[in-house]
Parts: sequence; structure tokens; C-alpha cells
Amino acid sequence: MVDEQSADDLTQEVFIRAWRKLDTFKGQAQFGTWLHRLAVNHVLSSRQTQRNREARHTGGEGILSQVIAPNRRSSGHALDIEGAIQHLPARAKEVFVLYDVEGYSHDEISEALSVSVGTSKSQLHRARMLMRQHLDG
Amino acid sequence: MSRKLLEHHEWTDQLSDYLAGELTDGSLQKLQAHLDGCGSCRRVLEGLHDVVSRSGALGNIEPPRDLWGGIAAVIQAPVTVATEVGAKVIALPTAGRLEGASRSALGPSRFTLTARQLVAASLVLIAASATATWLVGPGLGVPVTGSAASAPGFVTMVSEVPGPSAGLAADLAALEASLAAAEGVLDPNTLRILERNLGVIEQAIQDSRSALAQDPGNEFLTDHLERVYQRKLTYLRDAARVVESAG
Repeated sequence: MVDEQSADDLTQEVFIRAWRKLDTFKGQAQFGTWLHRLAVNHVLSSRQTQRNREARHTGGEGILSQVIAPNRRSSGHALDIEGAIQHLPARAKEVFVLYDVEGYSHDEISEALSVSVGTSKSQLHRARMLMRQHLDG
Repeated sequence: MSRKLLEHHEWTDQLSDYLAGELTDGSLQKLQAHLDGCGSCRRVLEGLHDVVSRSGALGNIEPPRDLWGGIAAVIQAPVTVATEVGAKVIALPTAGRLEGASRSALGPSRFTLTARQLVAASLVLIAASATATWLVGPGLGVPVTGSAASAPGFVTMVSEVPGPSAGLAADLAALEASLAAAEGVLDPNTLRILERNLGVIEQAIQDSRSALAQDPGNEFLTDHLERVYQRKLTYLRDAARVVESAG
């Protein structure tokens, strides 16, 4: 089950982090891109912390799932696909969300997740195949 | 796994690369030839295409509640920007201070909505001060003051940035005129707070226009500037209500 409170907390933390890191924005990317990247990096680093916590308690889902939590106003189709995303294994889910939902490149994902480009591509394909099966099922 | 399934895997494993247009000419021709004769692999391809198009169409997730309050509570302190020549404090009015100022002068209930908008306005300044950093450029060692509009060479470019729409400009002008005419009606402290907060919003407008002059096609900045104009309009309307109730 998705924890909306954690998603809210993460959103607040991202804006506070942006406020504090404004001096690191050098104009080499658009401001929106910089803010988006900062948000993804923060969520991914929080994910590791969350995973460690979950490993001690439940071994449950990664925190990235909270970022793509089903919106109460989502359409039926969107809910289907959001629900399918929740069933993906953690690494496949991260790559899928970053590539197919957020539009990051494999190069960017490999850097953010510290994996090879080949791993990013294979995890993406794995995720898509699982998504297809889930949506067909 | 049967030999036939393994054979299909050989083809379906290439389908994501196929969708991304990353197959070499030789591999592409072989795969297309296989797809022409294999309904099973074609269905997999259609399924993957469906997944890609539907996931790309997922909208942004909106927080179910207003999160600015929690953000404002943390960012009370002025922002310190480190530069090559030392550290300089950007004198940005933070959300908490603006909110507190409004409440102390106008009472806790009358300006609830306006206070929230002031929080939003202060967040606009986050982007505005970042824009100033951007315009100064990396490694120049120039202290950032938060006012990019004052940078040399900017006036001409900023003037080319479209202002608010005609209707919005007329509304803003009318409200500003009525506020100016009410100087004698309002308590000096209240007037000072209104003017200061309008100055904050105006500075955000100027900084946004400066940024847009540098990057005219930037949709984020265009939307951002429009939102700041709308916030100014809302604030002026609230101020007009204060004037009306005071008169």
C-alpha cells in the first residue's frame, strides 16, 4: 500500500533541499531540469535509507513507489498502469519510472543508479515485459 | 525452456531496442522479417508499445494537501550564497517572516489566504534568486544580489519579454491606482507591509522577466511569470478589500 505521507514528506524535503542548494545552480541546465534532477537524486538516496529500514522490518517495497503513488484523480487507464508499476521488482521499477515515465536517458540512469547502460536497458526491457503481462492478465 | 520459446526470446529481447530505434540495419531487417511471419512476437511488440505510450502519458502527481506550510517552517533563515570572494547573504524575505508580518498587522483571520499566497510568492523568489545566479554565470566570483534586472545590458532584452495580457495589465493598473489613492486611509504600518510585499512580488516579476529574456523559449519560466502576475493580481485584490474595510 502506498504511503501518501511519505510522498508528501519527500516533496517538502526536495523543495527545502532546492532552497538550500540554490548556490550550486550554475545555469548549465534549465532551472526545471535542475530541480527535477535534484528531486530524483533525493528520492533515490532516500530509497536506499528506506530499503535498509525495510530490510530490518519487512523487506517490503522501495520508496520510489511512493513517487508514483496512484493519484485519486487518475483515470482508470492511469490507475491500471500505476498499479502494474507497483508490482515490478525494485530495480526494474526504478529504471522503468526514470526512463518511460520521467524521460531520462540510459546514460543518465546508469549514472544515477550506478549501473551500466546495458543493465539499465535490460532492466527496462524486463520491466516492460512484466508490465505487459500484468496489463494483459 | 523449449527450443521454440528460446527462439522467441531471441526476438522479443530485441523489441525494446527496436522501439527505441537502436537496432543496427542488419538486426533491424532480420527482426522485421521475423515479425512479418510471427503473430506471437507481433503481439508482444504491440503490448510493449502500449506500455510505453501509456506510461509516457502518466500525469504529474499532485500532493493531496498544501505542502507550503511545512516548507516555510523550515526555510526561515536567510539564504547564504558562497562565492569566490566570500559569502553573501541574499536578503530574501522568507515565507515565515512574510506570514508573520501580515498576521501581526492585519490579524490572524483576515489575511489567511493572502498569507498563503505570500508563501507562494517567497517560493517564487527561490527561482528568481537562482535565475540571478544563472545570469551571473559560473566562476565569475560576482556576489549575487538577487536582482538580475539591474545587470548591465539587460534593459533592452528584458523589455522584449511580453508583459501581462491587456486585460490583466488593466486590472493590475486599476488596483495599483486605487491602492495608491488609499494611502491616507490605511494605517501606516499596514501600508508599509502591503508595499513591502508588493515589492517582493514585483522583484520576482523583474527577475523572471530577466530570466525569460535570456531564454525566451523556456516554458517553465513563461508559466512561472504568468503565475507571478496572477499572484500580484490576487494580492492587490486582497489589499483592495483591506482598503475597503478600513475606509
